[in-house]
Amino acid sequence: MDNLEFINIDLFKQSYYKGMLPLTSINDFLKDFDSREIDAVTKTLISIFDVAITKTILNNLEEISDKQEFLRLTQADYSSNDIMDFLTDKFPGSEELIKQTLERTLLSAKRAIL
Amino acid sequence: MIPAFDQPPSQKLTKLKLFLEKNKTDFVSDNHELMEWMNDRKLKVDSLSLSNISNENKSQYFESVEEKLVDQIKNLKSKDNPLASNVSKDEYDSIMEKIVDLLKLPAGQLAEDSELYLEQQLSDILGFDVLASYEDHKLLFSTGIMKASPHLKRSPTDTLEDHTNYHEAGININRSAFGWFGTGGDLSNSAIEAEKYHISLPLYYYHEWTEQSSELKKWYKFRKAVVINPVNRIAVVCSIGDIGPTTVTRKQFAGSPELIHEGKIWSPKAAGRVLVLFVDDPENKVSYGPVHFDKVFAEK
Repeated sequence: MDNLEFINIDLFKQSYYKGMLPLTSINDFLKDFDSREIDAVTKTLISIFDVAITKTILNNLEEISDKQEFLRLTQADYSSNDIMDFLTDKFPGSEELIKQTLERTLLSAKRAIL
Repeated sequence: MIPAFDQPPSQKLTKLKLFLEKNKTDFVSDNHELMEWMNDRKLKVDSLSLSNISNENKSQYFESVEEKLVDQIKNLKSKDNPLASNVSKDEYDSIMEKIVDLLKLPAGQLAEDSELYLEQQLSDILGFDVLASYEDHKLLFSTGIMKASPHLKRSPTDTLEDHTNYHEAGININRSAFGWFGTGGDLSNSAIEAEKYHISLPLYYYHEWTEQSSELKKWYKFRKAVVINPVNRIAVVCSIGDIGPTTVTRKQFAGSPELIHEGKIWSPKAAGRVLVLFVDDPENKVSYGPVHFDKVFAEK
């Protein structure tokens, strides 16, 4: 198991996509910041992930009723497995899509702070 | 030594937050049809994970990033923190890009976090305070499209030829809805400049208009504002000189010939899209006219 010394797992486990997070890459990203800022950076990064993934999923749901149902589920309990069940039912490749979005977003965030 | 908690965020963290702001703007732009539905449910897409933390843990991990950012900006404003004036080139570019993105959305008011962020950053760059809300007054439209209007008569004897430039724009046969710019036929330099760089706001569409039209007219009359064209990076300090346009479905503001030309409001890329804010200038120290952001930024 990689050493994930900078990751506050309590913050990251609040999402339905927690199992897909590239934790080693996130830990490397956090290393670049001053230790006093790690919590603030983590929260900002989580917000960035939330925005990016929600945007990607909404783009891939065709019906407005599905988009609203997805948003309802996220608001009810963002860590619930029901969300992934719903997404997998709507489009089977959703897990891979989320993984790719997380990796791509982290790369963009790295470029943004250069 | 400054305690760690009070230290300003590092440049990297500020850049990361700007990146988040950019993504939020893109999200709103891409999902415009859902925004009203989401707003009705107070659903904030950037704090879904963080709002899921139980209340017990929430106190441990304090508020959401957005709330913290808003608090930081409020603190910077109230403390007049000298570090706040240290906008980097990257931040400056990001601020302008964020405004460009906001102006791609339908005309309207800014979200509170965008308001606070832009007020602080633009005040910082311009060197005077700009506000989205002022003395409990808020513009019906902060963002929108500005049409070109003719010159306004400044006094009963004023003619088009008395105006220095842009005679092709013509002159309105009626005086401003606020009255003459000059008093008793005398035109001060300030009155001349106020007409030269003026905008019209659609006060007739304000909710308060039906019952408080006279109070609204009194408050808005020749009040100082600033028009931001982020594409060409020009701000124009102006007066609120008239009421209009009469319809707001396509264009939400009107601007004087000088303001339209010198602010490059209708340059091919700007296409009339502007951000309008109040200027807090109780001592009347801020001059009317264009301010070139790149020049101001280079001087800092």
